[in-house]
Amino acid sequence: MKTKQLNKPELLAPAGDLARAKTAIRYGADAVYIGGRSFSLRSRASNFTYDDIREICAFAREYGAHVHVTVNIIPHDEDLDGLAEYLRFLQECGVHAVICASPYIMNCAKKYAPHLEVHCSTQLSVTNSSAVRFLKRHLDIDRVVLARECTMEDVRRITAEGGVPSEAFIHGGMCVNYSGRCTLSNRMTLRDANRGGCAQSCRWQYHLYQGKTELTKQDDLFTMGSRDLMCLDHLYDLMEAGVASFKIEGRMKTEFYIASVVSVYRRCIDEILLKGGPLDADRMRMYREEMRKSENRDIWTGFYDNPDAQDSIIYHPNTNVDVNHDFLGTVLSYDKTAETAVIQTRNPFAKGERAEILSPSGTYEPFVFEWMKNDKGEYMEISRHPMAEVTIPVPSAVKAGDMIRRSR
Amino acid sequence: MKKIFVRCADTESIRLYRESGADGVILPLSGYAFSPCDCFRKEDLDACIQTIRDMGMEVYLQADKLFSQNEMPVAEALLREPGVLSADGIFFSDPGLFAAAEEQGIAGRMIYDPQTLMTNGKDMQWWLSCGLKAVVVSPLLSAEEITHLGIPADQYMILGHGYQIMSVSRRPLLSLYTEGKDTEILKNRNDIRIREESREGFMPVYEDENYTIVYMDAVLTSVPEVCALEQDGDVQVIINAAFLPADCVSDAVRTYRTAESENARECEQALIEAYPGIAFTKGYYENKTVK
Repeated sequence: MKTKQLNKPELLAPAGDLARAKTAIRYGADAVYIGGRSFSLRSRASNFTYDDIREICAFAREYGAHVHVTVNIIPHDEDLDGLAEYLRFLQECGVHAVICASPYIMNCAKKYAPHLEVHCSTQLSVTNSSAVRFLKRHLDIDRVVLARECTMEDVRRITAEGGVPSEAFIHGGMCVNYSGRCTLSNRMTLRDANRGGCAQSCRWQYHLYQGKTELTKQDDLFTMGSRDLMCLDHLYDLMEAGVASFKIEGRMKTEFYIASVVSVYRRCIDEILLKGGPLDADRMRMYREEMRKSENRDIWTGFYDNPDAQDSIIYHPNTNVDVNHDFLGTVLSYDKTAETAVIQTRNPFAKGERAEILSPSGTYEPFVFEWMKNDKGEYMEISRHPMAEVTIPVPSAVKAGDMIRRSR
Repeated sequence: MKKIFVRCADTESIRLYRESGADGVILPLSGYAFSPCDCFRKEDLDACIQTIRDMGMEVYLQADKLFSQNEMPVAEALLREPGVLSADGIFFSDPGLFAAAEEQGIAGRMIYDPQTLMTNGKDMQWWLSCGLKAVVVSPLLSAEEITHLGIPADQYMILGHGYQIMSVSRRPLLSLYTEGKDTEILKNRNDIRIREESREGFMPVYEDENYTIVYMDAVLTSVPEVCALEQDGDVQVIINAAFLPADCVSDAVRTYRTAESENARECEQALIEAYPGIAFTKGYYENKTVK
C-alpha cells in the first residue's frame, strides 16, 4: 500500500444563508464560501446581508474556520459601483478570501483590501500550470480554483508546477460546459449566467436533428444535464497531489444536504489522514452508503478518472433516484432530565418509525419514535406538518442543530 | 472606417470574401481552435498564408482552445512554427498560451478572445496592459455598452455577424447520447442541430474528438450597430462563416463594407430578405441580457 506524508486539506463548503453556513462549520467544514448581495453568482441563492457576513465571520472565528466570499460575477461596467467599499468591508469583517473571476476585481481586492486572499474562480476555466503562473505573475493570486474539466494528472501537475495553492471540486453539481463561457441561459431566458441568473437550460430537453431528419423520440429527447460530482474515491489521490482545498458545490442546497455531505467528507478525510494512506474497500463502501443519505442527482467521479466523460449525463427526468433517507427535522433544544428533544419538523413521520440522529460529532445513532407530542403537549400518532415543533424522546444527549433523518 | 475579418470555414471561399471587401481572414487552426472547421492544418499554413497575402489580405490564426496540462507543450510549440509567426495575429482564450507567447516575445501579436468574459472596459484595459494586440468583446454586451467601453477602436474587435458560440463542453455530448442507439456517428458533422422542445430555433451543434460546441439558433447581424460604432472611429468586425453558405457570407461582407449610417437598416433588411431560409437575430445588441 502506498503511503505518503499528507497535508490536511481545507474542506470548503457552500452556504446560501447564515443558517447553512453555521451548519457547515458545525459539521466540520474548515471554511465556507458565501455570496453577498452584490458581485456574486447564484443570485437566487439567499445571499448574505452585511450583518450576516459580520455574524458568520464571528461564528467562524469561534470554530477556527475561514469565510470566503464569492465576488465572481463577470461584470459589465454598470456592475462595478461600490466595489472598493465592499471589499474593504469584507476585510474589516475578517473574511479570509474573495473568489474572483474578473482581473479588475482581483486587482481592486489587492489594492483596497490587501489582507484578503484572492482566489481565482473556476469561471476562468484554468486547465494548465502555465495559466496559473501567468495569473500569479500578473495578478498575484493566492489560490487557483481548478476547472472541473481537469483530470487527476492535470491536478497533480498544476498543483506541483503552478506555484500557487490549488483548490479542486470534490462534490456537487457540475456545469456541462466550460464555466463562464456558456450563454444557453442568456439566449433561452435572457438571464445572464455570468451574473448569477443561470436557468440551467443545459438540463432542458431538446430534439436532435441530422439535416431535416429528427433523431430523437418524444420519450427520449436529447439533453446536456450533467451528473453530480462525487469524489470520495479520489480523496486520497487529491490529498497526495497536494491540493490545498477540497470544494463542495451547492450554495442553493439545503441545510440537511450541507450537514450530510460535509459530515461524510470530514470523517473520510480525517480517517485518511489518520491512516496516512488510502482506506480499504469496506470503509469506502461505508462512506459511499452514508453519502447516499443526502439528496444528490445521479453521480459520477468527474474528469479525474474519466476524461472521456462516459456516463456523465442524466438522460432521465428523475433526480435523487439513489437517495435513501428523508430529512425529518432539526433539533431546537434538549431536555437532559426528561431525555427529550424538541425538533422543528420538515417531512412527515409516525410513531414507531425508526430514525437516526446526524450530529456534528459524526455519529449516526439509530432510535425509534416511541411517542411524540405537539407544541400543546398533546400526544400524536403522526407528525404531518413541516416547520412544527414536536417533542420526541431521544436515546442520548443531542444539541441544537443536530438533525433527524429516516431510512426510506 | 471598418475593418472586416471573416472567420473562415473553408479555403475555397477566401477569394470570394476578398472580392466582397474583407480586409482579413481568421483561420481556425485544426486541433487548436473551438471551431467546426477542420481544414486549416499547421503543416499547410506557410502556403496558405502566402496565398492569402497575395490576395492582399491580413491573416489571423485562431487557437482559442483551452489546453490541458498535457497539451501545453504542443500549444507552446505552435507558437514557434514559422507559419504561425508569419500571421498578423493569433486569437487565444487560454492564459497559458498567452504566457507562452510572452516568453517567446510575441505577446503583441495575441488577441484575447474568451467568448463571454470580456464584458467591461476595465478588464479589457487590464488585458491590453499585458501587451496584447487586441481583445474581442463579449457578444453579451449591448451596442450601448460597447460605445462606452473607453477602449481605442483599434484595440478591440466585435463579433458582428454569423452564428455565435453559445457553449463549449469538453464532453462528447452527441456521442454520449447516441451510445447504444442505432444511430449514425454524429462526430465531425456540420449538419447536426438541436431544438429546445418548446422553442422553434435550430441550434447547430458540432462535436469532434475534444469538445462539443453549441451555436446560437439564429445568425447574428449588426449592420446598423457597426455603422454607429464607425461614427466614433475605426471599428473591427468579425463575420463568422461557420454553417453559412459562402454566398451568404460574401453578401454579408459586401453589406457591412458598403453600408453607411444613413442606410444601415435598409442594407441589413435587404440582406435578411435575400436569405428567407435563415433566421437572423440582433443578439444582445438591442436586447440586453439581465442579471
